[in-house]
Amino acid sequence: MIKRAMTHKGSLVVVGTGIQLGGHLTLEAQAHITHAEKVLYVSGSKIMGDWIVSLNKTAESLAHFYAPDKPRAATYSDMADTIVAAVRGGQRVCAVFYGHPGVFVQPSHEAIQKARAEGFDAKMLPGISAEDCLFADLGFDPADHGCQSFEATDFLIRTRIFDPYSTLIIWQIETIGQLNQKTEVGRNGLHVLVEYLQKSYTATHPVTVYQAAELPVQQPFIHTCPLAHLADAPIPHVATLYVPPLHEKPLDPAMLTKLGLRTEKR
Amino acid sequence: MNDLVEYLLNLVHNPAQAEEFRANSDAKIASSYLSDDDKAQLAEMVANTPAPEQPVIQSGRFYVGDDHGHNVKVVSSATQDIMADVDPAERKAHRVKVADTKGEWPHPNRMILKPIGNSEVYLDHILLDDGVGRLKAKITALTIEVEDDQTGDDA
Repeated sequence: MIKRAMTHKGSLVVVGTGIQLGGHLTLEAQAHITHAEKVLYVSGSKIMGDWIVSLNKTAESLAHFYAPDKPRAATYSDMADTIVAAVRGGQRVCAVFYGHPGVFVQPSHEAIQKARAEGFDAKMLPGISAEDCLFADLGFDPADHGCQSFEATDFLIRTRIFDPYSTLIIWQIETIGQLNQKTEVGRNGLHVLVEYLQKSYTATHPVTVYQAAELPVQQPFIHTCPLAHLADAPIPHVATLYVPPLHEKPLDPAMLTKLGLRTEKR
Repeated sequence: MNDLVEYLLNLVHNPAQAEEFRANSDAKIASSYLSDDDKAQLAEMVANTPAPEQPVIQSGRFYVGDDHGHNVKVVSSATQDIMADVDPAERKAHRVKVADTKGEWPHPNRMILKPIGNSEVYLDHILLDDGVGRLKAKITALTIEVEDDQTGDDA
């Protein structure tokens, strides 16, 4: 009988906790956390971290890579490298991120790409993102007027073209223009954002600052104000801006005709 | 699993209890089985929930009507008292009934509000005009709802 040495090849599954503790985690994601040989996580709060540790005793936080004035890109790269190193070590690794693991989470994508490039199995499972919570809490359907979604700093520095007749969602408005880890809201960035948006909307156009509830004991943060007052509005630590469309965009008669939705007048 | 995590997960599994907690958090925390440290942590979590009642409007009279041709109805609230200079920390507990719904802010004839679903829109620091140009009082909150299939400007 030929005796073969068992080689244990590492693998990676990236999952998301969702926004709210416990309630947003899928059964599949929870199973991967529970059965992993090594869990590495970035959680939204200490209580979320405690819960992940309760699911798998190997769980280790990657939050120590954050540091004041350290560029976020460097932090994310350190996180991805740590995840891939565990995979190289031959372990079944589960990386856990807050919200949806592929939405506004750079190290998750980076870790998967690096692991795959080195020949390891690596995949991501979907989770509940802040945007999913926003649709539910603010009560609108992105299909009604279409929906555009931008990261705030990127939106401004690339002067993104958008359609004001469609819903606009702007992420991370609390850290506009801040490339390092900050704890204070950047009011100057908000002034710049208001100035840019006022090219397309009136000063009185209502906008809503939003943050999903992270715990079952909390309510979502929903604050509606005129666009002109946004820079002075209360801004939570992870803030998303909802800008409703101006009004229904008129139909294009030529396109209606092309699609056979209207007969041309003779 | 620590007690606090377990307590929060129990609320996730019992939506009615979670709702009850959010409505009466102080009493629920006090009567919980949690240790004093955990109770303090839980109270901090609740307190850290950003309160939506923050200044929105600087001044002006107001008119009720949204920008989509709907009438917007002011729903009466728990108290009819209009509070002047209420401490911001106390405002959260109050709702103010608004009798006169006409006015102007910030547009001359319209308060442009877009109600989102049935969510409450909080209007802090509205300064009422008593009709002779004097600022009279502050309103801490309004609850509005859209009346469908009605078009018009009068509330």
